[in-house]
Amino acid sequence: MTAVEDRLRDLRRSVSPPDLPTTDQVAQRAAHRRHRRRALRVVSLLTVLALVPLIVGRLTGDGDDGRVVSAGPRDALATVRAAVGRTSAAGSYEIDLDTTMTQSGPTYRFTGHAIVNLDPYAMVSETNNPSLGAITTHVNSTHVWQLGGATVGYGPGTPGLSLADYSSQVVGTLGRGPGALAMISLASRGGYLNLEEEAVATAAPAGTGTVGDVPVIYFDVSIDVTRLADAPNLSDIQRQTIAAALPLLEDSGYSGTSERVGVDDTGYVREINSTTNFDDGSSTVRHSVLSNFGCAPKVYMPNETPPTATEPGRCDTTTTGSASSAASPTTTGSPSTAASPSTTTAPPGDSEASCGTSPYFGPAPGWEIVRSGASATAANIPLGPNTRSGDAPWDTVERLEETDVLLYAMFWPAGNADLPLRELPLSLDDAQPGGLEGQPDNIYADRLLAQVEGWNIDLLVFYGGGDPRGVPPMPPEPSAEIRATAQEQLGRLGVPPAC
Amino acid sequence: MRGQGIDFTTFYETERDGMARSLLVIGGDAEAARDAVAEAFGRAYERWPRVASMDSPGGWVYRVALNELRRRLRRRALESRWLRRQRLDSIPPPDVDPELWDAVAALPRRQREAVVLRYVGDLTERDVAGVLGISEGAASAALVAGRRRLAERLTDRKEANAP
Repeated sequence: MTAVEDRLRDLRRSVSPPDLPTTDQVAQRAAHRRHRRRALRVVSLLTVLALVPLIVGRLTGDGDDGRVVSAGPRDALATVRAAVGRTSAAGSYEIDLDTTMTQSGPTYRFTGHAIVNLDPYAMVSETNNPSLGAITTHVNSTHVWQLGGATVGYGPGTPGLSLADYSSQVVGTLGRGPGALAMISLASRGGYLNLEEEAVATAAPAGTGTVGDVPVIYFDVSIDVTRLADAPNLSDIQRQTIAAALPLLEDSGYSGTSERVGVDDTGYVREINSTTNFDDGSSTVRHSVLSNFGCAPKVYMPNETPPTATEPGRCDTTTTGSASSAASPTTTGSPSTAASPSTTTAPPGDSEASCGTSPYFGPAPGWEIVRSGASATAANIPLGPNTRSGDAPWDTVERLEETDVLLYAMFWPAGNADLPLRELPLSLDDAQPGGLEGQPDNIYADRLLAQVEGWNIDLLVFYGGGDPRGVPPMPPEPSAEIRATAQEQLGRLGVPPAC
Repeated sequence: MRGQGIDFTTFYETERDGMARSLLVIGGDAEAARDAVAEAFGRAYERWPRVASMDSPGGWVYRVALNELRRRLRRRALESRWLRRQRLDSIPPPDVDPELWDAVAALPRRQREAVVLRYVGDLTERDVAGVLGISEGAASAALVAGRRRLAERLTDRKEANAP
């Protein structure tokens, strides 16, 4: 028995328990809880009954000011076409992709993330496939660069591979039908969406739902891909590529693409579920979730050099990734897709390194970042209002789900009580399981203390995935994959020297 | 902690003081400790036949109470924005060694909970692990680390106060 143990046991004897209810009071409390639950159920039922007429009213109402407040059959087609036009007019957006191509041979599933710029057209996507691995594809209106799978378009002085030349390779890999459809997707503007106003043939309301936290109205839409070649602003090569792919589609028994399109109340296309079946039994099923309209990072092709200075922000200068007004779904941001190819975004400029500037997280596709005077936050889901008002990001941490991660760095100038000296990039290998009082019980956290460039940094990395309804809610250990994602973002922590 | 075959009243009267005492030391807040214990026992009362048949009804109630305490402290911390504090400031109860009280308060959460459950709540290491939802090894490690930190802190204080 040590002295410490003795003193702790003394604590047991010296601490008087607070006044506690009697057994009868506990029983009354339990009865009260039962009544409260019953009342809540009644209120919930009444609320649902009250909302039904409202929802029906919205589904049969009229549009106003370009915002979607209606989805009646008579204007569904106009609504969807307007949403497609509005989405294109945003100039940029990001897409989370999940595509499965089935044919007589192997089935290919690609999950990933894409950033689309429309003026001029430029897209970069990072996808993963179990057999082909990670594939990064850059596309503009004339050329393609593919890194991974069968790498094409790279090399000294190589301007990429012509879209037309790329077609045969894609068709050879994926098969005629899915390959032709993939080529049409690549050659049409919009980044895999096959969605142009001209190509929307029919639309009918299909209920409501949410994409992440964003409410949407769904429409069942039929697409006439043959009309994609008629879209304006296509290059000659894009038109030729689409035109060359169309006969292959027909040969494969292509009978059309059906899509379920989710349109949010600001008139943007938020989600697309599309299915294309071919007579030979092959099919392409694609799930796309769009976000960050008008705020997606600038995309540079591999043969372009990003400017060294920080570009003016497209939206909020301290925010990249999902726009605050456009909450992206919590299903986004798989670790590998959140990573950005080095050529995708402009790196932080030299001006960030000036003395007196506080530490910050560098921008990256799929990540939202905020910097305040005493903290910096980065998450692969939309950040909540707490962060923007300079508070700890509990409102975001509470929303973390599996594969979601949030990094929260608090810092202050080094003084007398300094933290361990470390060098950039900081490593999560040096972190310890930890957390702050106030974090949800189902959230696992790593904590890393460091002194860098005259700053004390207290970094917390919060990982989602625990069941908040469990009794008790247990935080699971994060996977190596999600830790790697966090490490990748931690590598973007910039620490200018303290003055 | 083992309580098969006992009625709720006996269970409650046997367990409540120790649990309330532990939660008071863990959270430093008598009101939060009292409410958390009452809430946890209320839930146990509602489903007593099922709870009573568990291997460790006390462990179950401890876990619920500890979660409830954390929730209440979290809400308090959010309201107060005392984000850097490991535990809300509190005045030690009368007859409690303030130096020890502060030293326990300064422990990281897991170590504090493990140490208090073990020595104030008088739980076995196995029960501590069960209540905290961690392995016995992790509970043992937290206890060792907590004791070491306490020893260092209490020794430092003593040396610092020496003439």
